[in-house]
Amino acid sequence: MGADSEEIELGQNESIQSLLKGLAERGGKDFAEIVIDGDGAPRRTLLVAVDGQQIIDLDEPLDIGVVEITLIPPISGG
Amino acid sequence: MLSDSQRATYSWQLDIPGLGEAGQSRLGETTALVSRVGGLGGPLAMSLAAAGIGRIILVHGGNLHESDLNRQTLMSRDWIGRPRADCAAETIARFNPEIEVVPVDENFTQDNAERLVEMADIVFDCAPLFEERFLMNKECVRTQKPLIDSAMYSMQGQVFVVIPGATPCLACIYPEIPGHWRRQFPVIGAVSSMVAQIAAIEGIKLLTGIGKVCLGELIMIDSGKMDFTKVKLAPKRGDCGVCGALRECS
Ligand SMILES: [Zn+2]
Repeated sequence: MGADSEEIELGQNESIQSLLKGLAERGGKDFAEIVIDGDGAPRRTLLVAVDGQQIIDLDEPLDIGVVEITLIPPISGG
Repeated sequence: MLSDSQRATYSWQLDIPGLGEAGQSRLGETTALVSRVGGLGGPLAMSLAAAGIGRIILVHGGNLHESDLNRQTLMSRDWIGRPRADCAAETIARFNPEIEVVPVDENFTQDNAERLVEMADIVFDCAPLFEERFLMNKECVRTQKPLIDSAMYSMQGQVFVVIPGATPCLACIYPEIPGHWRRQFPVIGAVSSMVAQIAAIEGIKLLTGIGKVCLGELIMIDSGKMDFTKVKLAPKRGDCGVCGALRECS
């Protein structure tokens, strides 16, 4: 995928989980591996924030206007 | 009570609002553990030493390699092959002979975690491996000691403060060890040392009471774009395998 940010129009009542699935399908293998697990569920190690607030329940429909969704993959290095 | 020598050494920082002699004394009474002391932990430990932390435990197993020298600024080329904990301790002790520096030529393991964390009042986690970070997190939660967790990758950095019982812990935000991680990570010293300074500042703020510590927030640094942001984390998980049983406190 390589894009740092992207504007996406969400479907009616679309959840972050379905958004991630869609992104993973077109984002390439490495990206998909970070975002979803083998069953297509969001990885438990991926942090997702909506307008700067971490969201835990990723299958709740997003029924809001324009939001910034941030995907934060875990990093480890020193 | 500060000595005349301490008053002279720290005179420029004693004027920071809220620090004063009381805050400086608290730093001097503190034992900080830093693990490891590479590109992130090395500059972090140096800043703690400069600030006047009383005692620093430097935890790092293994010897210095040539490929460490692009970022591990406490080292020296003619020390290649020597234990890195000893080298770091030598540099820091020369820089600030008034503090106590204790090198430990080991990395964090299940076997030494209890012994190492027991020595410290605060832990700075700068390890590159999730396994070590999780061990430090678990031991800090068990002993209810503050943990400043920091990590970097390429041009990115993340810092987050764990106050057991009051904030989410590392296992709350990563309920399992991420599987895609590889041991070798891209790193340039300017980025790792910048992330280190943010972690050092959070620790100094926590110890002295100056400023506002970013509790319950993940500090994210993208030096590629010079973006600094914070994400407000969800409250600690009731079902967290590490801190879930701790009562919420403030
Ligand atoms: Zn937890």
